[in-house]
Amino acid sequence: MNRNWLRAWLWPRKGNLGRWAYTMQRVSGVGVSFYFLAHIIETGNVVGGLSMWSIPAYDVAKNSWNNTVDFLRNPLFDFGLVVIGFLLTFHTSNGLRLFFSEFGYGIGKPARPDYPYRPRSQNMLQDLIIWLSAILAAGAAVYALNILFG
Amino acid sequence: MEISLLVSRSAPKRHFQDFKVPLQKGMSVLDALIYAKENLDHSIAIRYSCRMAICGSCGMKVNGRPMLACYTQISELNSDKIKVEPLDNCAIIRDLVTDFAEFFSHHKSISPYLIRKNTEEQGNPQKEFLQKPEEVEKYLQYSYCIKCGLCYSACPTVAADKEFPGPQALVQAYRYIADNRDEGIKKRIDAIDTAHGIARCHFAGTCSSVCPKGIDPAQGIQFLRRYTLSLKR
Amino acid sequence: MLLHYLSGIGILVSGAVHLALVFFFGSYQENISFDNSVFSVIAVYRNFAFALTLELLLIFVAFHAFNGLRVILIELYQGKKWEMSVNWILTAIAAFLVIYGTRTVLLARLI
Repeated sequence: MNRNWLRAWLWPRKGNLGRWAYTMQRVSGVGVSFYFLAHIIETGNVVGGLSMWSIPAYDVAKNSWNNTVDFLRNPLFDFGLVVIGFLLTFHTSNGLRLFFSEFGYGIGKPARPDYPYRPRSQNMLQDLIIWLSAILAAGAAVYALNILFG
Repeated sequence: MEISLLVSRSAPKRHFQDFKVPLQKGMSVLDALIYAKENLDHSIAIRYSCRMAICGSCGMKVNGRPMLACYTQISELNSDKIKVEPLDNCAIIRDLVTDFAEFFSHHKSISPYLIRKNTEEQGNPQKEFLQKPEEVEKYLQYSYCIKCGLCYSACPTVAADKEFPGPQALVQAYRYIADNRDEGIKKRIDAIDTAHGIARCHFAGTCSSVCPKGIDPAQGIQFLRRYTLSLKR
Repeated sequence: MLLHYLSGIGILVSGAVHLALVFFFGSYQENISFDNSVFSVIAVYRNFAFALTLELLLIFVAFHAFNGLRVILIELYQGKKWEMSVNWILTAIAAFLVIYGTRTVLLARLI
């Protein structure tokens, strides 16, 4: 069969901007999902970790949390948070664009096609919002760098 | 002035064969392929018919992008190396000819004809069905489909999901639903509102950017989505 | 599906509150400390409105993320067995995360 999903999903070289937004939405979604998994496990340590299923003593919880924070006070993890901030902001902003477009707003109206047959749904508004999403994501990354690295 | 035409051949295994074709003014990719077939190698397999972008036979990937060979001028490609490959997402029969059986069966699955409850009316019509210009505008754009398969080949979901109907079938479903002469909306919504149906479109929009007739399948599919979310009847 | 869109909007609202609490009020270092300031971890859990927001965020994100992963996996490969196993395994992991997160919120309020 002549189907190559890997190339079609991850490397749309001759695609329009919306195709790149599709790829980035998927990649950012998967990345943030893994962060979610790690975050729930990590914040579980505020009451003493995976083995604690009854009310913990104050000091046990405090020590467990402080150990976790010290373990994570690491430039590698902080940089990971910056990347996650970038991906999350892009996913949210592009996701809002998809929310409105998929309900039928911002994609133009049907009309008689005339040469040169430019598609009305791939219009300036869509391109603008995709670029805006990228800019907001970069801004979030810079803000996170500022907070985490001083 | 010569251009280098790299044609994808399938026998004995997939490889590119280079043809040197003399460039004439106004030459399209199809003209170059016919020159190569007539004068350089008679065994190139290629589908074409009307040579004026109305039959939909000559779809192929030109320099990586799905286009109609008869509709693409060599001069608009801005390159003297033209790489021609068969369309993605369809089984290759030979060289540039692909198998459209799956594409047509997806199209049939959405009942691409007007459905009226009164079946006798179509065999024995008494008067014309009047339609206002505004009502025609709602579906006219989507009715120009020539079934060339470029959108099907460009769609990233079709590349992965074998059960996805593809942008052409979905926008044709909308063409009939938006037509106020049609009374078969329930049958078509049931055909597309499945786990691998319209919900698997993610508005990448590549279908619209390659359509040679300006149909804009991406737009039609988003309008169709409201029927599956029960926001419209 | 409609639920994917609605949970996305839910994440937008409750996530904005969560991020504001950690990054915009007070200093970051104090907000991730155990109990030092009014926006520290235990203090946020003890406030009913904030804890409810966090719990809702957990449910929305678990649904939205695992539904998204489910969509990607069933587009890759089709077939009854594959789809059933993807559904079960992802639901199980999402359910575990919701239960574990709810346990964290409840126990933190009772410390």
